[in-house]
Amino acid sequence: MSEQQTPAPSDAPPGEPQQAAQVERERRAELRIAGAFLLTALAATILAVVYWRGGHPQWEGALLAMALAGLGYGFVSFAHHLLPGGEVEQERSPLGGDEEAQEGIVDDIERSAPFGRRKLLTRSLGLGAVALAAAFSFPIRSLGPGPGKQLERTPWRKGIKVVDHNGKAVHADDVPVGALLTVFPEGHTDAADAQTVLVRVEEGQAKPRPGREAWSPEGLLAFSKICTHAGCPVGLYQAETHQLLCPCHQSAFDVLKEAEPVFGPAARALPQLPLEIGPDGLLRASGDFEEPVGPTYWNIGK
Amino acid sequence: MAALAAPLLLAVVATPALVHHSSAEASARSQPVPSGRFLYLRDCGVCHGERGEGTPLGQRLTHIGPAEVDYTLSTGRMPVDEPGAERRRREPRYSRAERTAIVDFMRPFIAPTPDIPHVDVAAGDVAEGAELYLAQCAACHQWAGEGGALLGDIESPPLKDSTPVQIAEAIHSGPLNMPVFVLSDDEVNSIAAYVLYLRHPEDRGGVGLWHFGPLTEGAVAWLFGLGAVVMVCRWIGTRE
Repeated sequence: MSEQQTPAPSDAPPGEPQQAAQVERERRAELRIAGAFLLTALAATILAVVYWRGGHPQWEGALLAMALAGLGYGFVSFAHHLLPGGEVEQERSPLGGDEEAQEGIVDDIERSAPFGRRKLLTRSLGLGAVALAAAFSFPIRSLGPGPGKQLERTPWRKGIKVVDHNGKAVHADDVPVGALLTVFPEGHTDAADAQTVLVRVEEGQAKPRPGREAWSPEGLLAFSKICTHAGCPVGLYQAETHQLLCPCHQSAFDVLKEAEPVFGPAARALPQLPLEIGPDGLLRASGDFEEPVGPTYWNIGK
Repeated sequence: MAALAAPLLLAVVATPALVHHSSAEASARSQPVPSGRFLYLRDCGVCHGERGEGTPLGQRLTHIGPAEVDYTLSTGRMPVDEPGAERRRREPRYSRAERTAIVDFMRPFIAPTPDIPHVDVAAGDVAEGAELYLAQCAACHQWAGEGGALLGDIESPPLKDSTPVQIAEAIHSGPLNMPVFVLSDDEVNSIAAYVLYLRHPEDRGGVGLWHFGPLTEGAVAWLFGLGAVVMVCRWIGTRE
């Protein structure tokens, strides 16, 4: 920006010394703004060079910030100092026309009332409603198809081997009392819905309901690792109190009582995986979870 | 007050118990290591029984291994001042030699495993340790090893002062509320290496903010970040 382009001082004619001071202020503002824009140019150039020479995220970030700050400062200062400020008043012209014109308008309105126009309105309104309804139907189409039985099944099957996260089969003797192990069905170590916590308590300590006594051989208990509240991994285990904890919302489950929730927002027990120990000592599932794993939903079990 | 009163009490009253205590401490300092049998019977047997069978005052020890005994003694969690007191980490009561003597005395009547592990931090892989730590340990001990609250009044301790051997002992034996983790020696080496790395982590995002996690980071963002944004908005909106 050069000296010639300096905007003229505001329209009101101030006194001579005041005008000179104003010109001087604007000249200094102009220099500052030009300096800010030059900083932008400089930072942007260095940024380009840094990027071209292989890049350095911290420096690139700092330079980009510097370039944008210079630009921002320039624009805002421009608005503050160089654009005409102050409040301007303009007299409004008198409202309303003469009497003849007013009567003419009333005539016009009365003439235009009949059906000719209203038909157009109703038709266009109908068209709009139909188009809107059609638009609303698209998200509904995206909701399907229903999940079917998918939510109630995991890869666990009768006889499938229990493996750790490395895919190594778990031997019953590998799991001492007080242990915590995350296990998967063999061949499905990437199946999110199949992740299971395996803990061992003293034999006879757990109190399974009738019909489930065989599910926990030698005090080995397996529960779905997915919290029944919001689906976080229930990865914390207090071995002395026999409680599994969810880190997200502090739900706690009592492993001695079939992982019934004892604290927190979870309202449903962690589904238990029936286990059996094969003749080779390896742990196997004796079936899939009987209840759906993961967060509880409204029509669960229907 | 107590510091002043104790020697006074000792000098004036000289109860047998206090005399016994101070002479035992003096002998531990000046003389060769007392026998493990002596130390066990003096400090442990009173609650845990002559051969770890347990008494109404203290739990049975016959099912725990040397690793847990060593861990509990070396972290100062035992002996406690009185039966039933909370076991917290503090200055250990015994020297390494005394600890070894106690563990060796107890070996015949406690479980043979898990034994005191050998840890080779240099052989550990910090990156593998990080993965294992985040998957297995971070849930309770916090991502930077600061520890945290569990259920009720139970807390998981910070890992700031843990030695590699203590880390391995805790993993193998699951002391107090900690579960036992089934991990190979290599994996334990890596986890120990990562826990040591956490003492001086490379804070890639900039300032570590004491490694408390998202709460402090959020507070800083709100206070300073939004504060700055508000100031800038004021400046933009001001007319002269």
